[in-house]
Amino acid sequence: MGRFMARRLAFFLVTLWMTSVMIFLLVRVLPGDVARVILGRDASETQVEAKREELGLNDPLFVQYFTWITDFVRGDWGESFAFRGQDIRELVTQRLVNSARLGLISMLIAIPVSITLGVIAGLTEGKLPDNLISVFSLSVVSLPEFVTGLFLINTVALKWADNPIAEKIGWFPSSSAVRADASFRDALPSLWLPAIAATLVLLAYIARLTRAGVIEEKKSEYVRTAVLKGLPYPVVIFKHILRNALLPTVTVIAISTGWLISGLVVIEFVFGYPGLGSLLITAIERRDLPMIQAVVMVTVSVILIANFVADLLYAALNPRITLN
Amino acid sequence: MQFFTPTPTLVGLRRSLKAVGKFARELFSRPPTAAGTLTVLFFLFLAVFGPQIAPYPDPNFQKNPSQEAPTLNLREFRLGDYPFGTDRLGRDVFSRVILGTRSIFRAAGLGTLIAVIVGTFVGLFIGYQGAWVDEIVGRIIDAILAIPALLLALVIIGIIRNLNFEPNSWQSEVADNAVLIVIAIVYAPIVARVVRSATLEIKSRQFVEAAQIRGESPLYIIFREIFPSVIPALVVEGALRFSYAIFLVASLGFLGFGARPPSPDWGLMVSENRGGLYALTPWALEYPAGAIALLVIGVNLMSDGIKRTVQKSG
Repeated sequence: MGRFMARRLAFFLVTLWMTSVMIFLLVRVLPGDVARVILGRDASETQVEAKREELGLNDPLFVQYFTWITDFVRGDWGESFAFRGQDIRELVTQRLVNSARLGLISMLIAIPVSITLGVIAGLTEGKLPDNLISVFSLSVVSLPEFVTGLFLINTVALKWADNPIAEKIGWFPSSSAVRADASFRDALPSLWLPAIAATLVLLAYIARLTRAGVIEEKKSEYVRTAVLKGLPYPVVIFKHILRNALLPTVTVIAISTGWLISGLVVIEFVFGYPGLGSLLITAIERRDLPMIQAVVMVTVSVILIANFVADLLYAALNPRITLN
Repeated sequence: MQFFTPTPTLVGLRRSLKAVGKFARELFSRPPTAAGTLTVLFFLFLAVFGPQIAPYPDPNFQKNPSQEAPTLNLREFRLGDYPFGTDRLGRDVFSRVILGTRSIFRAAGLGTLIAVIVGTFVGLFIGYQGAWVDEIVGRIIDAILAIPALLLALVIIGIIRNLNFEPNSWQSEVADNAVLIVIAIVYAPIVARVVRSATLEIKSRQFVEAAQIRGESPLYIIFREIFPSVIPALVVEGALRFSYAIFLVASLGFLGFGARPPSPDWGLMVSENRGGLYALTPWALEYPAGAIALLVIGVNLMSDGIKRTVQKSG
């Protein structure tokens, strides 16, 4: 186990480092003048040159990278261009907390629902419930987040005179534009609708994988033995099938943070929720390069940590992995 | 002696045509796959012949822009009228949905094609070469894949767009095709990884060893011996990538990072017609959103069917 953990940790650190190089190169080396981008078209040549000097853009590239990454690791992420003078780290952590709230609520809804759907589909393979669930998850997966988000806003939340559904359940606000520093309790009412939209992103993936796991375990020898031994069906399902079938599900839940984050970018934009995704879009629109770097670094770190945790969890639940 | 001996290439051509025919027959034998494939072909048809079909081939045609109130005219479905209504600027939604197919197929289809070609070359090469080349390129691919596709696409497009270029220079060409290029950049590493693992598996087979002993050049072995065996995995991956690409192009358009207004881009149409004005012209949002959903479902069903067919025959 120790050697396995060390290997995964090394992999995690190497990937994180390479990604940081990638992000740096992406933002700094793409053709064009960063100082000119910041100052805009009207700035004079001397102003641009002064800005270049100030930002250290005249240094060799590896010096620039080294300065950036050491400052980043130390926690000095610089000041935002777009949000005048604000400390980037404060802004990013605040938005990260907001996104994490949204992500956690959607996971709390998505995981039980999708595992239940997946188990039902797996147990009734090829029959009506399975087909219904397959069609449902395929159509949910096919709808982009902004389509489901807008659909939810327009059917459930907007209270027009002629919208009976919204009138009946009028407690969902149509916009989630809460203050960025709102407490969890204040933000909660406006979290439900975006969380449901984000849930749909995860639902199909987790359900499909659980279904496959259940079908595979159902065919195994030990399950047949248990059934032939005369054990009651619920016992076979919960004690035998699910224990092994849910193993890959644990991993996919951790890995799906990547999908969830992509989905959240769009969903936060649709609902106007002040999370990391909407911060990134603002940063890109306002040419806030240090902010872009910071947001992408934080996002990638979250994803890589989730993958690392998934590896460890999987190994802890399935000792066969570490033996090889 | 025969008068006509078919050349090896002709035999090969006929054989691959036969294989494609068999593949298509199997694809259409399952109803969901057939439905999905037909949907995709339908949209492809619209993408090619859109300007000839659309009642208003100019996407920005406004009929008396100042007087025209938004209309929905579904009860009298007449071509040449406004079957899907008009948006708030008085533009025909039906024509704009039809004309929008071309841009989504161009960005998603061409982008995927480039990703598949580049990814195949890289994957074959690093898979066959192995050793340190594989190790280094593999790590770089891992690093790229750690960034979610949408984020990577947003950052690249955002940066390309913020640069000022001379009109008609090659840089401005690049900026205009940013979405297409981004699709290729984002998906090429994924394709490369799939091709690499397929290559690793095939490399150890005996016919490859035989070719090596015969003294064939590495290029010959990669393209004549290994590449044909990689094709099934490649077809499956390409179809899957295409469905993700359509999704991504639509999302980018919606976020304002795809086509610029006034282009008839589906995602852009949805975002232009949402918000407070929704109550005024809901149909201007619903039809492009429906078109996106229909196309993605179609492509998903098709790629699912392709996967099944390939797995069954391979």
